Amino acid sequence: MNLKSKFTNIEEKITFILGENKKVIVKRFNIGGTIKSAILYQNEISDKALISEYILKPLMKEINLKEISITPDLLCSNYILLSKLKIEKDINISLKELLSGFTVILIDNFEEYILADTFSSEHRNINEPQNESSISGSREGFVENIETNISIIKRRLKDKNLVIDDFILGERSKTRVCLLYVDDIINQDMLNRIKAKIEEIDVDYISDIGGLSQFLEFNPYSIFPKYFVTERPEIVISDVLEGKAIVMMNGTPTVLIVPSVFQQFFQSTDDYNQKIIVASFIRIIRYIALFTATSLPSIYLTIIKFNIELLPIKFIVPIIKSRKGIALSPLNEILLMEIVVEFLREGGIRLPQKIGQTLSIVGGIIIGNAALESKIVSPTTLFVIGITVVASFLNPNYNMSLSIRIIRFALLFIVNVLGILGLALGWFYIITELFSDYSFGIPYFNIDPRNFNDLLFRGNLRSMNKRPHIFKPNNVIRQGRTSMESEDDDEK
Amino acid sequence: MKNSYDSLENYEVTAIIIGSIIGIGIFKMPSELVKISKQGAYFSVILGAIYPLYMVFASSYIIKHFPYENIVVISKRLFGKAIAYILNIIFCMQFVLYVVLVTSGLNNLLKTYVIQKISINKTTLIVLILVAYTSSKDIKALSQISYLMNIVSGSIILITLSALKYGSILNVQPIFSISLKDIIKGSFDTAYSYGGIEILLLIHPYIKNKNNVLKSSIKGVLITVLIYTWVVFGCIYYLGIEIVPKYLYPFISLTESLNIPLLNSFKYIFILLWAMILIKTIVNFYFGASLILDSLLNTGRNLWCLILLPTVYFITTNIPNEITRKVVGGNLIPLVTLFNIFFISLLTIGTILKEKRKKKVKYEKI
Repeated sequence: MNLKSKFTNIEEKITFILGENKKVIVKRFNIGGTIKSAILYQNEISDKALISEYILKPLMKEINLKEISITPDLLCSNYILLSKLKIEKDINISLKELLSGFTVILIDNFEEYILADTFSSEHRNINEPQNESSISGSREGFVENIETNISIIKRRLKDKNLVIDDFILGERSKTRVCLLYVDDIINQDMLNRIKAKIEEIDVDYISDIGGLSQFLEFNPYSIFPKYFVTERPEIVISDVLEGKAIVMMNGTPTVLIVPSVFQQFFQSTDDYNQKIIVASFIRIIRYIALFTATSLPSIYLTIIKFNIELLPIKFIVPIIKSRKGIALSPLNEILLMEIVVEFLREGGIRLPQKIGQTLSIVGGIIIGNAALESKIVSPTTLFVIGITVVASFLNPNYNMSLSIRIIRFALLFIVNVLGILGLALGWFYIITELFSDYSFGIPYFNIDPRNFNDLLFRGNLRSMNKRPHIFKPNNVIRQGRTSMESEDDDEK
Repeated sequence: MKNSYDSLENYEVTAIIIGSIIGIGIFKMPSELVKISKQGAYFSVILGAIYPLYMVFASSYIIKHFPYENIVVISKRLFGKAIAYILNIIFCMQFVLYVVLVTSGLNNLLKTYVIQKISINKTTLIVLILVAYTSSKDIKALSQISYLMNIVSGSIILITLSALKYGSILNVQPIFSISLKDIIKGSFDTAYSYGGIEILLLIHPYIKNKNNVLKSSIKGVLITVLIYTWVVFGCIYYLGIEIVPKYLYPFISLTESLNIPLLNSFKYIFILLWAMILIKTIVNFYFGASLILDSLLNTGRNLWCLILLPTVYFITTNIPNEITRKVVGGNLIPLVTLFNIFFISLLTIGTILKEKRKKKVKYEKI
């Protein structure tokens, strides 16, 4: 291949390129009417108007060979009217760029190739992210085009230290992936690890950012989502300024925040736009919902199966009455309803919106009512499952709510065997998993008293003077001393 | 990078110390102490803190001179391999004993209150598997677990303050008629409840800021003293000195002072949460035992986490009830405490002598 990479004859060059890729369009022409030349481009991803207007027209019409002798450099600087141009000697590199939407200009008797960026593709306009709604936040969301996404970020973050590193992933797909970070904030050791991990990826094709995140994970069997995925630029910017890095991929509107921590999945943009008390209240409600969504069915099971004496007599009587004539055991009863709810939920997501609504009504009202009438489940069980389902919707992150669903099932099984001890053991195991997981050297869950003002509650924004310690940022100070709080002794 | 994040912050050191001391002892401590020191039992608790404070001061002196070596390596350096081997095996057995006693205590607690229908041998096995698994994790994770569990135990202790509403000040009187002899006698008993502080000489190589070891450790001991003092005082105040010794777990009765509309008794929630706190204490001791064995024999800590499991299971299941546990603990823990005082003092003296020798050599060179 290397021997062939230095052609001077134009026909040899064309033959070689066509041998590698038959779908390339070749247009032969003469520069200034005499010098044999050709342009090669990919029909589907190149802008033909751009090629005709800014490459072919000046080269064919405006050059007078009597006055000048042409060189690739001269053509780039005086005639080709495009901003992104480069001269390449290696035919293999030219071939790669051709596949990315560049137009290759060949001139007879010249070893060099002129590469002009004429990439064009239709893409969606910027609009509000459907899956991450915000009440008071921006209506702007990322799109599938990586250039547009970078421009959104650059427009909002005009920091000279914002760095964008490019990677090409996928042996066959050649997908452009960018790593964004603020160079003077991010921990360099962590950054090097992230870069090394991205460079390690050697696959044919990566379909989406979710697939990419799995290649970046250290513990793929962990139940919890390791990296926060978002379509909202304001989340990305606040994370970059906390000392994290952002992974963007061409062709997907979601970006990956690396590394992410557990508590991040329970925070939303609105938390920082609202008053302290309101935001803290909502956050606490979210944590209560987390507890309810994971543990309520298990607590109910342990009470009715093992520790009925826990409840006052006024609660026991109606529960016993409602369970009269039900053939299924408490576990089977709960499991059955949980599975039905999972059917409805999964069906509702995949179906078109209008049919999804019908499914919810049919499922919620008809199946629920029929299950009660036919004595398959008791009203109390249905009530408990209903609350659990509603609670699981409170989580602002879809990936985390999926994990919570699975934890609920695991807890149910262990509680069915061990009763209240099962609950204690289950929780302890979850805590162990959360605390012992790391990504790029950063603990997945860490309770640091220095970060208490943005954990369970959302503290005063004026007191958040320092970036979170957990990411070990190079530059700790986030904002000026806007509060009355004194700095920690160690920072002095 | 993971190693650099492995380093423990000051608050995590405090958390491990509190997390290793507070466990099952808190349950029966009021009844044991009230038998000896009557209304002045909480004075004994405060006086008993001399033991952990001595350990902390002695340990911090040793740590100052050996900041990156744990107790096993230090003793090897000071006394040679053979003696270090014997001393550390006994030191390790203490942690195994704590694991057994706390696990057995947890079993008895659960058997008494919540899990009458399930075989206790099965639950012991499951608990110990979880303990072994958790202990195999890194010290940073364990310190965070301790920290979270301390928050939980602190919240429970705060809840027990509601007993103040129902108790009587007459129960804690007369204070000045108690003999000093009884208080001192009681303080020996309390000293045993402070077992677990010895873990400091195992974890110090992981501590980030070695200059603050003394401060963080004293903080941990003082918080423990405060909690113990409240529990003993609260029990006397709520139940009176005649009733406290009659209870197997007087601390649980304190939690019954709280009324929750949806539940008959807060007791179950308390046991559910305290079970997790006890598992955390067992994990810390298990970690200590595996770390000593690993430092002694260099075979990898995870292997020891696995090997210790059947051993601990076998011993625990052979302690059938609370009475046997009390007899085993009552006979062995005073010996263990004496050994700890001896061992740490020996290490301190060894360090002092080594330092003197070093200075002498330096002086002679000059």
